[in-house]
Amino acid sequence: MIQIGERRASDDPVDELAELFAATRPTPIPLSPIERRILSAIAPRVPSPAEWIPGARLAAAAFACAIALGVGLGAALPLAEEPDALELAVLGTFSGDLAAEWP
Amino acid sequence: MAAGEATEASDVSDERLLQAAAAGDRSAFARLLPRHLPRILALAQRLLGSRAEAEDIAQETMLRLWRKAPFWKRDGPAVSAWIYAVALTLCRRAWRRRGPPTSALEEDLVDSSPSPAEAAEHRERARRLREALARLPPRQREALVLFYDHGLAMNEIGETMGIGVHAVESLLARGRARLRRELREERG
Repeated sequence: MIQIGERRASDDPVDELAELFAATRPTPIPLSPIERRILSAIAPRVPSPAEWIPGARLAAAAFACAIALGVGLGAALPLAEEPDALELAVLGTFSGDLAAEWP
Repeated sequence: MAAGEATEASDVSDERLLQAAAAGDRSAFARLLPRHLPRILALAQRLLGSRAEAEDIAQETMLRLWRKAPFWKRDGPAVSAWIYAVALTLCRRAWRRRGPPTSALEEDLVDSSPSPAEAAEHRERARRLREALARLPPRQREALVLFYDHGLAMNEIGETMGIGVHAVESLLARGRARLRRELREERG
């Protein structure tokens, strides 16, 4: 038993309408020229917004990391140039002279 | 597995080919064309009565499919239903733009009639059907063409037209009654 949703014309007895439609079908159009036109017209795939937005987020995150790293390095540079008391203390543990001078 | 390899087998589904096309696989997209172009062309030819317009509509439908492939949703309508729906929309626009088909396109008809008299009778039947269909409300006309010409089941027509099975059944019943009446009146 065919359910109503699955019923198609071929399940029905052939009536005059089915016969009329079948008898007057248009001549099939050759496909090759149309296929060629379509294939030559399709543009190469470019990333859609849905695809490039996560990529942009990744790039932004990488940029932020680079900035943070730069800030970190920038903060570290003065230490290298002008050692403060703490650094001197640390350095002093490896320097006999400085350790001798430390109170 | 690469997209190209995924679409080697001949029984690959439309959905799989479309996913490969979405990733930029043109050969997968090319394999969709012979599956769907004949149906779109036949649909547009029947509805518009013009071979040239049918070619334009088929081309535009498939180009839209290529552009929209990345946005395809697996849980959405079948690829074939989507293609039919786009083609129907484009046919409606063309119809609104320039009105119903007015002239008989005799060269567009399958002519298997052995004699000139039978060929003339064949053309006359085609003309009557085209003109009667043109007087139907658009949705009735489209449902009848999908049902009789394309052999779609009612649920497939519903998916294409965005309506339920019972609405399709109702459209077909009203469409058949109206078409029979139009054909009778033209004959009488």
